[in-house]
Amino acid sequence: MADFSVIIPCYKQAHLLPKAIESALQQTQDMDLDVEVIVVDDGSPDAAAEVAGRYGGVTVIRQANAGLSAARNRGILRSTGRYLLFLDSDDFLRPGMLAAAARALAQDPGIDVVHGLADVVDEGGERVLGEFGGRDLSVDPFHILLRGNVGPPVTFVVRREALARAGVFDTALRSCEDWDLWLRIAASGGRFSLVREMRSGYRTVPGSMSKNLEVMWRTGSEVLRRSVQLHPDCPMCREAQRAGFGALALSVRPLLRDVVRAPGGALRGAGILLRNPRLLAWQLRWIVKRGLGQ
Amino acid sequence: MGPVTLEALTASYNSAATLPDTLASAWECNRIPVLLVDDGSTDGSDDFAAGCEGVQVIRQGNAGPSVARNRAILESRAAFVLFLDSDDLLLPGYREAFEAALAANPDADVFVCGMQVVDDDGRPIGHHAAPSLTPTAFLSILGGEAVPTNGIVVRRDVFARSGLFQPGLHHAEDLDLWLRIAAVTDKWVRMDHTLAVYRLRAGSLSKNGNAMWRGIREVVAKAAGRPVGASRQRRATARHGMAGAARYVYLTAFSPVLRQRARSSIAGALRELARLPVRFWPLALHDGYTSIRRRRK
Repeated sequence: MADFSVIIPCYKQAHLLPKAIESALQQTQDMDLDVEVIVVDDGSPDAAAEVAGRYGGVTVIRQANAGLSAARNRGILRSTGRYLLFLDSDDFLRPGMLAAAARALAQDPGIDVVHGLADVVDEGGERVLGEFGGRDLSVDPFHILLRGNVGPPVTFVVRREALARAGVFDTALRSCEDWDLWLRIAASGGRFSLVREMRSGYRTVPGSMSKNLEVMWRTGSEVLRRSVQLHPDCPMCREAQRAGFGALALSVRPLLRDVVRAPGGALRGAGILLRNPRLLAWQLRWIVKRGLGQ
Repeated sequence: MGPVTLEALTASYNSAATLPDTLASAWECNRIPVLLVDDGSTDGSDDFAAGCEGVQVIRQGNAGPSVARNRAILESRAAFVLFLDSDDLLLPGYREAFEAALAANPDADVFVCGMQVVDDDGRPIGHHAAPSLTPTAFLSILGGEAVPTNGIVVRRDVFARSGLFQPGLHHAEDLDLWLRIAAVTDKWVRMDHTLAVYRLRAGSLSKNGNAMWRGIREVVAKAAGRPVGASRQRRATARHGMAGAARYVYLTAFSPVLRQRARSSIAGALRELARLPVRFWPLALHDGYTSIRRRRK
């Protein structure tokens, strides 16, 4: 039985896969960590399975396209590690990331999730544009998470037992499925710990999933709506949920700006806002606020 | 995949009385290995299980049956799993029937068989045939055909699309998962024999009919909203299923209470009846009417 299972779903990103796989295999070099790497080729039309198959010691699973959540779940069911990390095929781990996780998990066996920080990198994977993660979830993780996700999936390492209590990734969600899972783990009493030495790389690729504004807004809203039902009649939840909607609206704002600025985009932008009145309300709020401020 | 094809997953909590028979029915009678998650037992049944041949034990602090079953799904390495509750039994020939069915349908995701219901002493008191799976597996289950918990064999990879047991649901978490599995795959195969034995224990009869009803209603309503097949047919089937579920809840939970009350005072029984959800009033009145008429004869 391995210590860590690194689960890499891949769809149409075979060209980025080598960097992800090598960054995971490299983790075994320090501390004699037992790391298992599982690549799930989610019906990728490029040669994802062949690329992964070139590496010795990598388990390759092929399946008909079923989506990111189902691909990660497939990897979970096939994995043997006590701790799981979900590495998207365009992201990568910095050297020593899992060693830092192993040290933290060995210190406190009651921890269910350790999470660190990701460098946001450009498409080439070299230039660092910023940092994502680093919010401490050791106290009241549920309400903090409700205010917004704290990092990309690559920054989290999860104990397998936590999934027995919280379930696996929800295949009905087309994005934000990682946020939904962390919320469920927090709601089921899971304990989180921030480990700053856990570093990884999170790539921003044009046209990647998180770029689809409307899908993101809708799934994010759905996650917020269903999560507060896990804590019925909690005034803190209501306040945190409101903040969560605000953060979500703010996070899709640059995407909305891109839509509007594109040729013929004003009409499309108006359509999006009319279809999602809550998003429209937040945009108006900011416009009014700015107007009053000046 | 490992060498194991089929594994029985057992969640056990203080089940020393029934566990020996259950484990023997899997390993000694069928050579089906058992992965047992002990949910914090205090009666030593975990140590007993650890000493049994063909049984692998995982211990955890008490977290409820759904979490224990999920743990077993996540720890198992088998290609196919079945859920063997710690008071139920498998009949001899289970594994052969499964292997024959798998050989005939190598692509199938789910295999399901009939169930025998026995009382505390093992006397048969009822029988459920396997669900017909027509027109689809999803609709047949939604329409109220019973799926025996230990009579369903699921390809473990299917849980990647269906998800696991939902710990928040009481009394209907099985039905919920079978419906979700049927919603993602229609590759179900009916095994013709009755191979599962369900023990209806006097103590295991759920007294809390209201919670049971709420659980079933929530699960069926959620399933009826799933985009599987034509929506009109789905809704009609769900209504049919709810009517069946109401009869089942009434018979197992409400009827014994009402009958007991009626023996001492009819007025008391009527007061009790008034407290039930309105849905059950016609069932209860019909039940009362027929039992009074039967007594007159």
